[in-house]
Amino acid sequence: MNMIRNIYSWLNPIYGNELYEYLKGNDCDGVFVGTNHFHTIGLSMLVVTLILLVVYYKVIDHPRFNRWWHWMIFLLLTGVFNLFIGFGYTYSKLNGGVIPACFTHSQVETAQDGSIYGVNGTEILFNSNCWQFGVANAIIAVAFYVVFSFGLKWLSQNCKYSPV
Amino acid sequence: MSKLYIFGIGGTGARVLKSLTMLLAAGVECGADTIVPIIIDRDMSNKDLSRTKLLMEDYIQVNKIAETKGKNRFFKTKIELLNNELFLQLKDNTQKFNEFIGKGTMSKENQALMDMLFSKETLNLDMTAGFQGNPNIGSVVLNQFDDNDVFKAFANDFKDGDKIFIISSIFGGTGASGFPLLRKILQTPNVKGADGQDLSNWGLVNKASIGAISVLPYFIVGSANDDSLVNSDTFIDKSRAALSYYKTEDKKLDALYYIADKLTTTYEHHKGGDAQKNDAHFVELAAALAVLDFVNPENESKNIHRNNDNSIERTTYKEFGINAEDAEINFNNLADETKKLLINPLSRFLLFHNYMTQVFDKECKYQPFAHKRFTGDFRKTSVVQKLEAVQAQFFEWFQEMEKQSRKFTPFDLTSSSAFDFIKGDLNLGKSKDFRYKNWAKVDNELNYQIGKTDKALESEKRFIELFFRATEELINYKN
Amino acid sequence: MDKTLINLLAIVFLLSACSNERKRGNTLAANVRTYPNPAIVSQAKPIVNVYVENTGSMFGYISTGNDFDRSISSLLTSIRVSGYADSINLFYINSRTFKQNVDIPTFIRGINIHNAQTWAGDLRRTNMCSLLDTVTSKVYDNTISIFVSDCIFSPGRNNDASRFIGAEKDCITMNINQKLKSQNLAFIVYRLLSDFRGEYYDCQNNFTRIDNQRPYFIWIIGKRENIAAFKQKIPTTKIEGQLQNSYTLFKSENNVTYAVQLNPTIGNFERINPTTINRTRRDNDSGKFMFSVGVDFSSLLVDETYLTNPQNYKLSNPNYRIEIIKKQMGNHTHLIRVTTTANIISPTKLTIHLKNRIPNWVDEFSDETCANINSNGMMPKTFGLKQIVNGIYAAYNYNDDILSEIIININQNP
Repeated sequence: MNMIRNIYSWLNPIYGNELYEYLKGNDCDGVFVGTNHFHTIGLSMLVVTLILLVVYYKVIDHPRFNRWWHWMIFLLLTGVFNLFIGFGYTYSKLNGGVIPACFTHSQVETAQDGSIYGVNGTEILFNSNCWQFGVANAIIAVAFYVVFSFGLKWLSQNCKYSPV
Repeated sequence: MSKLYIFGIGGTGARVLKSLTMLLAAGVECGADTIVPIIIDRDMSNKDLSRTKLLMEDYIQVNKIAETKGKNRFFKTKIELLNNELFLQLKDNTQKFNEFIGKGTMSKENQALMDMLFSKETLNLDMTAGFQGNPNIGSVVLNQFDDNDVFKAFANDFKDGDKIFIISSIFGGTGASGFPLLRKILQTPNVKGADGQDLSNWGLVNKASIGAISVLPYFIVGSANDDSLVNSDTFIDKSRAALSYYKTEDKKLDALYYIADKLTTTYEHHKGGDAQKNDAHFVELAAALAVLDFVNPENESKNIHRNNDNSIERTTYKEFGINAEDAEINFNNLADETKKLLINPLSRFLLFHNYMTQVFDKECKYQPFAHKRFTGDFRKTSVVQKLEAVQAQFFEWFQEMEKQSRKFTPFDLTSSSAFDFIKGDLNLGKSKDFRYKNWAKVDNELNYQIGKTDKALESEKRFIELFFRATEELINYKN
Repeated sequence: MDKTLINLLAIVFLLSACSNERKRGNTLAANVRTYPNPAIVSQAKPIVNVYVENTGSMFGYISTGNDFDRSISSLLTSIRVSGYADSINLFYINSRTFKQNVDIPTFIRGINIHNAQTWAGDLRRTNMCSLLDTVTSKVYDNTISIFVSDCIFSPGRNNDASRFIGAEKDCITMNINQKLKSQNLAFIVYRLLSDFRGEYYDCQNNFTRIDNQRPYFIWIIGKRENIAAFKQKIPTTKIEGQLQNSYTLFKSENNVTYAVQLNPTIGNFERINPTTINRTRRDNDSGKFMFSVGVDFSSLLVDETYLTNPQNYKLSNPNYRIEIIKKQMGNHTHLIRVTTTANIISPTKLTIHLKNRIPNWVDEFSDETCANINSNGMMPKTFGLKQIVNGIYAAYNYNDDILSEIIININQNP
C-alpha cells in the first residue's frame, strides 16, 4: 500500500502537508503510529472507479453508448464521486475533532492534563483543504480510470473501442 | 456433389430463375449443391434476361466468399454457368417466318398447305421478337437445340445423379412450345451434334430424374398499341390447347408442377425487346419453390417413382396452394411448410440489407465488430459491392411483388425498424434482453458474433459469416 | 485479454501489499531513538542528609531572617512540603559530621562559635577535598546529600594556598572518579549571595572583618535519578534569597529524543520522517526559511538558562542559527527554531551539539590569587572555586564535550 500512499503524496502540494501527514498516519513528530487513512481512501477510490468502469463496460455495455464521449461521462462521474468521497472523509475527520492539533493549528499549547490543544486563531486546516483533497482524490481516480480502461475495455462486448 | 440443371424457357423461365436466385441468395435450403441455369430464348434483347444474367453473375462472385466453413448460408448454393453462358441462344438468321420455313423454295402444293396452316400475318412475322404468343410457330423453330454449343457443354458436363428441371409457361410463345420439345430431346437416345458425333453422356441424360413446372396464366396483357400479335384473351384458349398436349407427357416426367393465379395484374403491352420488363410476381417465387421441392432429398420418395429398368413408373403431379386467400398475402397466408422454408432466410437477408443501407455507415466507426475490419474502403471492394447489388435487387424484387394485384407483402419495406418490418404476429424467437432495442440489438448481436467467427477468415468471408450468424440469432421463426 | 489479466493482477498486488504495512506497524525511523526511561522518579523517596559547614568562616552568614537563613530554610521546607523526601537529617560538618536533632531554624541559628565549639573539629582549615568526599560518601541509592559551604579552600596558615589548589583539584577528581565507577552520581551546585557580617577568613586563614554580600554554595549530591527528581520537585523558584547561579554535573547519556515539527515554520518543507526534511522552500517575503525541532531535554540535568542560550550549542553548518525556547508539547520540553537566510538551501546534514561546558560564572567568580577581599572585584569571588568544579568535571572523564546531539537531514536522504 506504500504505492498508494506515494501516489497521494505526489499531489500533496494540492491539499497540503499537514493533511498529508495526518492521513498518512503520522503523529505530530512524523512517526507512523497507524491508521494509514490512505488505505481506506485509496481502496474506496479504486472500488468506486472499478465499479464505474464495470458498469460502463459490462453492465450497460450498449452499442449506442460506446462513443468516446460516453466514456468521458463516466470518467467525469468517477471524478465527481471521488471528489465527494475525498472531501467527505477529510471533512468528517476535521470537523469531528479527531485530527491532532499540531496538524490543524500552527501554534499549539499544552493543557494542565498534558493534552495538546491548538491556539485559537492559528488554524491552518480548513474546509477548503478538504475540497482540495477531494480534488486530488478525483485526479488520482481519473488517472486510474484511464489506466484501467485500457485493460477492462477488452471485457466489453460493445465498448471494446471506447474511447479508442 | 449433385447438380441440378434448370432449363428456363422464355421470359417466365428467366423470371422464375431470378426468383430462385433470390431465394438462394437469402440462403433458402436447396437439396443440390450446384444449380446450372440455362435460359432458352430467341428474344435476347429481353430486359428480363439481361437483368437475370447480371444478377447471376453477381451471385456467382459472391458465392466465392460464401463458403466460410462456418454457419453461413447466404449465397451458399453454387450457381454455375455452362461455358460462362446463361443463354442457350437459338440460332437463326432468317427474319420472317415464311423465310425460315423456306416457303419460297417449297413446291406449289406445299406452299398452299402453308397458307392454309398459317395466317398471312403469321407467315410474315418478324421472328426476332419472339413468337409473340404463337406456340404453333415456336414449336417449329425451336427444334434446333441439338446444334447449340451450350447444349453440347451441358451434355459434356452431365454426371450420374444430376437432375434436370424445366421451367416454362403454358401461355405465351416460347415457353409453351419449347417445354415438350426440350423434354423430348433430352430423352431421345443417341442424339448427335451438328458435327454428326453422338453427344457425350447422353445415356445419363436420358435416364436422369427430370421434373418440370408449367406456369399457368397469372397476368393479362393490356390492349395492344402496336402491331403486336399478343392477345391475352387467347391465353386461356391457348392454355387449354397446350394442357391437352401435355397430357401426353405423362410418365415422361418424374414430377410435373403446376401453378396459376386467378387474380391477375395487367402488364403493359410489350411484345418483347428492351421494354419487356415485367415486375416480379409471387407466382414466380412459388414456382421457384417447385424447383426446391423437386431437388429436396427428403421428397425423393414422393417425387420419383421408377421401375426396375429405370423407366418412369408414374408422374407425380403437384400444385401450389396458400392457406388463406387474400389480395394481399404475407407470411401468415402461407402453409406451414412454406413458412418454415421461407420466413427465416428471407427475413434475415432483408435485415442484412436494411442494416447495410440504414445503419452500417453511421455505426461502423464505433462498433467493435467493424473496427479496423469493415471500415474504410471495405464496402468498395468488388465482392461486397456485388453482394450489396444483389441485396438491392432483392429489395426491388419485393417492391415489385408488392405492386401486383396479388400483392406479396410479407415485409413493410418502408420501415426503419430493425424487427418490426416483418408483418404478421410471428414468433421470431427474440431474446428478452431489454437493454437493447431496435438497431442497437442488432449491433449488440454483431459485436457478440464477431468473436465467434473464425479470425483466420478473409474480411469478406468473415463479413458474410458474421451477418449470417447475427441475423440467425436475431430472427428465428419457429412454428 | 492479456491486458485485463495484468490489470487484475496489479489490483490484487496493490491490495495485498496493504497488509504489509499493518504488520510493520509501529517501526520508527532509524535515527529516532526510542524514548528512554527518563531520568526521573525512582520508586522510593530518598532520605535527605543536610550538611552545613560550621567552620569559622561560616559564622558571618548567620543572622536570623537574612538571605542565608531564608534560602536554607525555604529549601529545606520545600523539600519537606513537596513530599520529595522520606526524611531530612541535619548535620554540621567540619572535619567530622555532627547530627543535629533540632528544628531547621534552630539548626541554622546554631552555626556560631559557641555551638561550633561543642561540635568541634579542626576549625582552622577547610579541606574541600575531604569535605566533598565525606558528603559524597554518604550518598546511597536512597540517600542524597545537601552540602552548604563557602567553599573557600584553606590549607592552613603559612601554606602557600595557590600551590595547593592544584593538588586539591586532583584530589577531588580522584575521589569523585572512584565513586563514579560504582554510582551514577550527579552534582548540583547553587551559588547564592547573602549579607555577611563578621570575620572573613581567606585562603591562609587570615581574617578580615567585613560587612558585605558574600557568596556561598549549596551542593546537592545524589544518584542521578534522585537529583533529576529533586530538580523537578524543588525548582529554584522555591528557594528564597539570592540564588545567583547554578550548574549541574552529570554523566551525559545523550538520549535526547527529537523530531521536526510541522509548525511553527517560515517557508515550506516536506517532512519525510521525524529527522529528515525535503523540498525546502524559503518564504520569499522574509527571505527566511525556518523550521522547528521539538526536543525532549528532560533527561538532561541542565539548567534552563543553559539550555536556552544558543552560545552553548555548536552547529555543523554556519548558514544556520538556532533559538531555543522552553515549550512543553507532548514529550518534548523545548523547541529549537532553526533558521537560515541562505538563498539556496543546499543538501546538508545539520548537526546541533549541546556543549558540555562549565558555565562562565564558575570562572568569573573564582579566584586564584588570594588577594585581599576588599580589593577590587574580590567580594563576589571564591578562592579555588574553579578548581573544585573543574575537579568534579574531570572526574566524569567525558569522552567529548557534547551533552546531546541532534541531527537533521535537510534536502538529502538519511
